Amino acid sequence: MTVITEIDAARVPADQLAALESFASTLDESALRDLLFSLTISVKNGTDVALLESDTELTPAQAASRLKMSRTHLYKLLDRGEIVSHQVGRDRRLLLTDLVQFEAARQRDRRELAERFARTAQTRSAAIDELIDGL
Amino acid sequence: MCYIKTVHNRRARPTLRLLRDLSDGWQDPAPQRAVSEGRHSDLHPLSELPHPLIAKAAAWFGSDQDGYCERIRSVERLVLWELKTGQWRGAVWDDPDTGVRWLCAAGLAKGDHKDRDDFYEALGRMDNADVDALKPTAEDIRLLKRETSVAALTAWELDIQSQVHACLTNVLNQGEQRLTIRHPIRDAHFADVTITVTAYSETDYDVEDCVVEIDLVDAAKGSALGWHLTLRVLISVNPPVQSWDATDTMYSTISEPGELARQADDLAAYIERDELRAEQPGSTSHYTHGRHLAGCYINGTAVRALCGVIFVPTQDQERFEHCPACQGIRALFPHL
Repeated sequence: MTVITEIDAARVPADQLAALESFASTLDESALRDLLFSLTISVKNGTDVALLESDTELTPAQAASRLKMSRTHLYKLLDRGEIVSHQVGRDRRLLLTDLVQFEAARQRDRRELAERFARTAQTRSAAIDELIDGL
Repeated sequence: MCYIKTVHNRRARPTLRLLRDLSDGWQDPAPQRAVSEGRHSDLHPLSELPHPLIAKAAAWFGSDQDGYCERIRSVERLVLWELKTGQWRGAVWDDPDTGVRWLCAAGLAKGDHKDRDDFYEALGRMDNADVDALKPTAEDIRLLKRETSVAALTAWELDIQSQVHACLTNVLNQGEQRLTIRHPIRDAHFADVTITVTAYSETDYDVEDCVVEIDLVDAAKGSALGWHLTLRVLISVNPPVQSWDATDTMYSTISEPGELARQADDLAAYIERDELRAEQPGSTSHYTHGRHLAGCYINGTAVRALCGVIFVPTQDQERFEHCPACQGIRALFPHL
């Protein structure tokens, strides 16, 4: 894992953080703006932040902890091919970029599930129509 | 009468034509109004409409046994069975296509069957076309199919709820179990559901990670019935909708140790009462990035809150307590 640079949240001067924040708010909506905001949010919350290369490799244990899930859960995702992994000797490794891609896909699926939950009555009546058509 | 294998409840039910003709004797005027206003879906179940003749027909020609009755002799073209209750007379036709017995004509016995208005006299005067018109129409069949489908779907959901409960009690704390779900009507495989519970520890807290994999057969993928199964399974495991995460057809919910057991106990009470548990919509008010929420709740589209929760806004967000995580982030960024 190549660490390019790391920030100890407690040691960041408040005026620098404020300057970064006001700079970020001048940017148009973009991935970079989101990244700068999430950086300031994390630091303000006292979270240490590390900037890593996208091709950084993670062990399954590190990936599970980052995704806030059990290792059993992660292995299921790996077995189903939801997250790409590769073999290093007997162990599996995951690329950070693949994790980021997985997160993006997970956002879309979460959104669809939330919308489905908000339309349970419509889904039920559509299911009834499907059954009627099958009779 | 011979029994045929049918998905429908064979219990006698009235045709719409009969309901229009039956102007007297109703114990409640609501069904007649529904018929005249075309609100046919308010009539379900048709076999239980409040009229003595309909009640007699449903009791005599039940779902699995029939009482004895005679054939109406004044009609030759169709085999009609005679039904009597008080002054009321009815005719029941055994439909070979659906297996259902239709109460398709009604009237009063008058003047020892010599009166022109007498039920049998009136039937006897009918020509072939009149007699054929007694049979159920396409709309009658549609209502029958709807009733059958709703009953099958409800029974299916209750069964899934029980199966998930049994499964949960086996995997609580730790373990994996698989359920096989069959189609609600057809004799066919519909889905495999695997529920896995793993307890694990983060640095400063313990949690339970419950993963639900729902593998639908190809024909069911993307169908409303497939989604309905998915939602029913998830609600049976853990009803708060915002607790669920999704990756393709793999769903997960993370909770404090013991919470799944508590939800399983709660589910048992629903099963006891033969009731379906409903989903619990979010009950906190989240902040979002200056988006106009009105359009989202009208269209039912989901938005992402500052705290990361994805939710579909409802009209009544204001009455909820504010989400502390969102408030914390907002306090840091007053301009958001």
